Amino acid sequence: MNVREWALPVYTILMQLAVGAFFVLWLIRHLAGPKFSAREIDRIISNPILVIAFTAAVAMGGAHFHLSKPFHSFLAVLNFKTSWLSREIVFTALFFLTTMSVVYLIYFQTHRRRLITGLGWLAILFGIILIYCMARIYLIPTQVAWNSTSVIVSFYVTSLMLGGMTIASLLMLDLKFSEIKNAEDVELRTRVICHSYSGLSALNVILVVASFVIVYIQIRLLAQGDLIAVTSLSLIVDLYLPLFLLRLISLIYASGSLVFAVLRMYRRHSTPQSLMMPVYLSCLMILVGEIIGRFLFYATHIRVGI
Amino acid sequence: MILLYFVYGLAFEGLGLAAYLQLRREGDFPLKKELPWLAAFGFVGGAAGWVDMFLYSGSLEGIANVLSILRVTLHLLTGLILLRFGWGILNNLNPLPAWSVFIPGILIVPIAFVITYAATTFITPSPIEIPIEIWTRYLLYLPGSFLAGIGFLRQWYSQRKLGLYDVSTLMLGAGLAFLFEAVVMGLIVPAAPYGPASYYNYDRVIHNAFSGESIEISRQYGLNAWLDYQSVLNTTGIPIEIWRMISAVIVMFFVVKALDVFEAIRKRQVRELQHERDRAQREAFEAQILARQTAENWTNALVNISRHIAELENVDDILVYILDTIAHLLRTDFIGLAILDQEKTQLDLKCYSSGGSTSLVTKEVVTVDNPIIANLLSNAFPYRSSGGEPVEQVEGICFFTQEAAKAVMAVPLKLENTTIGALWVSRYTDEQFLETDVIWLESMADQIAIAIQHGLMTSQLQSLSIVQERGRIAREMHDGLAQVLGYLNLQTQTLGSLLNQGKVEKLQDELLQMRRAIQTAHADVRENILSLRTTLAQEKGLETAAEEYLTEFGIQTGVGTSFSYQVGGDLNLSSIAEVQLVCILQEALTNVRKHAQAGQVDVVIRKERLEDGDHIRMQVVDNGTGFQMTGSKRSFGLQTMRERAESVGGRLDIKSDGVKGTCIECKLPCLTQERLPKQSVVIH
Repeated sequence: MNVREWALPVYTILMQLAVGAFFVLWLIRHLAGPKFSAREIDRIISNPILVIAFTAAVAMGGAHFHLSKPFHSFLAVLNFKTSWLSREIVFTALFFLTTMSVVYLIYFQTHRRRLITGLGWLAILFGIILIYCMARIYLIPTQVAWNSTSVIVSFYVTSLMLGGMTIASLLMLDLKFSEIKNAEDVELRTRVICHSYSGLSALNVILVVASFVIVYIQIRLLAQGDLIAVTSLSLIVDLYLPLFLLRLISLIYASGSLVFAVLRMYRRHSTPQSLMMPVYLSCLMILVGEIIGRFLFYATHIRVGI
Repeated sequence: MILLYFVYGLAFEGLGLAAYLQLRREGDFPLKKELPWLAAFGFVGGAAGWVDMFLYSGSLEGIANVLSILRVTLHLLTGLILLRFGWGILNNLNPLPAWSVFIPGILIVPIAFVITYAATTFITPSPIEIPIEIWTRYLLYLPGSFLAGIGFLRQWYSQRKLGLYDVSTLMLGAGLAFLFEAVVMGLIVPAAPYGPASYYNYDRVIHNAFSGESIEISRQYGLNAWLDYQSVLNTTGIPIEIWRMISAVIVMFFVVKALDVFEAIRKRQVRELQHERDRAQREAFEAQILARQTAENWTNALVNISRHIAELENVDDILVYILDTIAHLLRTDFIGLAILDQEKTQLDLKCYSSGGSTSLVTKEVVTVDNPIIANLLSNAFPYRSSGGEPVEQVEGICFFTQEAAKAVMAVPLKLENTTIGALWVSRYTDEQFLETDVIWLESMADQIAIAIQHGLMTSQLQSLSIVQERGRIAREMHDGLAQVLGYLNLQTQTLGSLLNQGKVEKLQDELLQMRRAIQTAHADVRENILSLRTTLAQEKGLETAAEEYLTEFGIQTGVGTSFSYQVGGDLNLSSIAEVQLVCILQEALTNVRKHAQAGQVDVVIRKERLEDGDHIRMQVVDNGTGFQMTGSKRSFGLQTMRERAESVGGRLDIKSDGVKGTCIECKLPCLTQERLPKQSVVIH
């Protein structure tokens, strides 16, 4: 792949990461309601929501490297009625705008809690539609390797997997920062991490298993398909086999390492600070695994016809 | 070329050896924790260079494959160690700012993309050694050298700020050397069909969707191809091996020099610590002396105050003296002393010290209404400001001045566990009072409470004395003058009867008796007047008062007198003891006049040093008839004299055999400096 083609994984991976992270963050915010005060939990999520907005902005900027005429990108929305690409762009913009609104409200209008909550769920709705549009672009008959509903599911799984790990890492980095600054909210952040990490690690395991199931389904579909499909499969098991295996190993390592570290923390009643390196490495490996997966996704397709 | 590889390897081995030798030295210095990594980097990097040399020379053709694997492994290992060393130099010598914790978070996505991109290049047709070397350089050498370079540059910056320009120059050299190494070791890689070293993009056809035109482009896309070995040779005329050798030598030179510098820094720090320790010891010693001096000053002040109290000075004078003492010892700008009124509802200013002079508040009632003092009265705990108190809190604490207090300390006045008032001090400057100052001020408050209590007791004693003295005068008049007047009344009736009967001789006898009775009464009255008139006024003293009384006694009674005063220096008797001594003398002389029929009385007052301290001894000796010690009519007067002596810790001895006169000896203990406080407590 050349630079223009790498822009696609950059955009899709980062945007799915942003949507997934937003969803996981809002889920934590919702579930933490009975245990923490609104002010406390909004203070905890203020930095992660900023990072999500930044990630979405980078993804949107990165997508322009895929275009021959980046300054004409806005014209893509003209075909909203007929084109999934146009819809993807529109919902990307909507997701970004609502996310930025939430960022503004959380930083400058903290008392408008209901509006923040509502806008957050609206952003997530836009994100879900965005990922659906993103996946539907690839569901075309001429691309045998892509033309499967498993692509839609795999995009959602990737989104949640990346989002969960990103939020886990961000909470940990925020805690570390607070410790260095001797901030008064260290104890609060520690409690939030202790409450949320069991769920995050369990979610990660489920999603990795789901990811493997999707891979299995895709391979079976390709194996049972026509010549084009079998050719695509042969690319995976021949030329790209090291990358394919590297992806699986990355996901297994990331999931196992995180679960092991979290279990050890609960068993030894140690502080969450011990999770810093395992969480960071797990997040990195999940990212590597999913980027390789996206690379394979683009690299194994063989076009039928023109 | 073989020589180049040899020198390259030698430079790294030298670096490793220098680091290892430095590591074996004792002591602790900033770079020491990173020295194992530096030594390992030097040894492994040098070995990798020498393996390159053998591969290039072809002298070990038989094990070329093994050498190739060894080369790849050593380069990988060198890169990993360099990365760890670079991170240590950057992070451990000077801690990074707090926000740097977010850098890994920000870089995680680019790192993941780079790792993935690197992984994809392994499936290209080029030999496996090529991507391994390229990504070892990109992912390990480049960031490792870069981090080390930045770490040394941070040292350069911090040493410059400390003014250590010689050290900072070496740090700058080491930093730049590692940055140079980052370029030649990490950024320049073998040619390959992936970037950024030799990034040849596909030939592409750009299709313009608006015009329908297609443009075929065959030029490179992305970075130019000057970052591979051939391009470096073409551009600079020097092969990359020479650049790398130069880099290795420069790094070795500056880092080895820097190691010495770190040792020098450590020695300097040790010297500074020693200086600091000496200075701290000196300061502690001086502080100790100062504290002892302060304690002595306060102790002397407390002793002097106790002496003033013991000497029955006026309470107001004592209070003024105490406030003056506090102002001097605590260097205060204002001192206030307030007492609760009888209803204990209002706090009235009693005495204050401001601008170096102390005054009593007598003409008007000045009410103290300040939250600090009010709180002090309610909880009875001392208060000490820490600076930065609200202005309204210290308002109304300094009277009769426009200045505002900035440092305040206040303690309650307690009398028998009851708060009776408050004592506070303040300064107009920001110099706050110390915790030890609170303790001293509490001691002063105790002295004030003692003085007030003592004043109350003295007042009560004076009232009691007046009552007793009136009773004594009444008794004297009843026993003396009243009896005589009654007797004269009867005698006048007898005289009338004798006159009527014409018994002239008998009449004359009665008149003679009446005359004698009147003379006796007259003598008693005069003596009483003399006793009442003889007082121990401050300007007189015991010696003058006793001498005058004795002279007057001799004139009135016709008894010969002599007085001897043998006290060198101060009498050192308490005021009460002096009064009792005069009273005993008066009583003794009265007995002489009434009962002894003496022609001479001698009085001696002298100071004696006995085992239990100094004493004042007074002897009253007459040459009269003397008396028997039991059943005497004088018993009541003697008993009174004895009680007076014992009330001030003394004793009274009477010697008389009924023939050769009488000797009354009174012995009273003197108050010494050491006994003064204790004695004062007894008095109060």
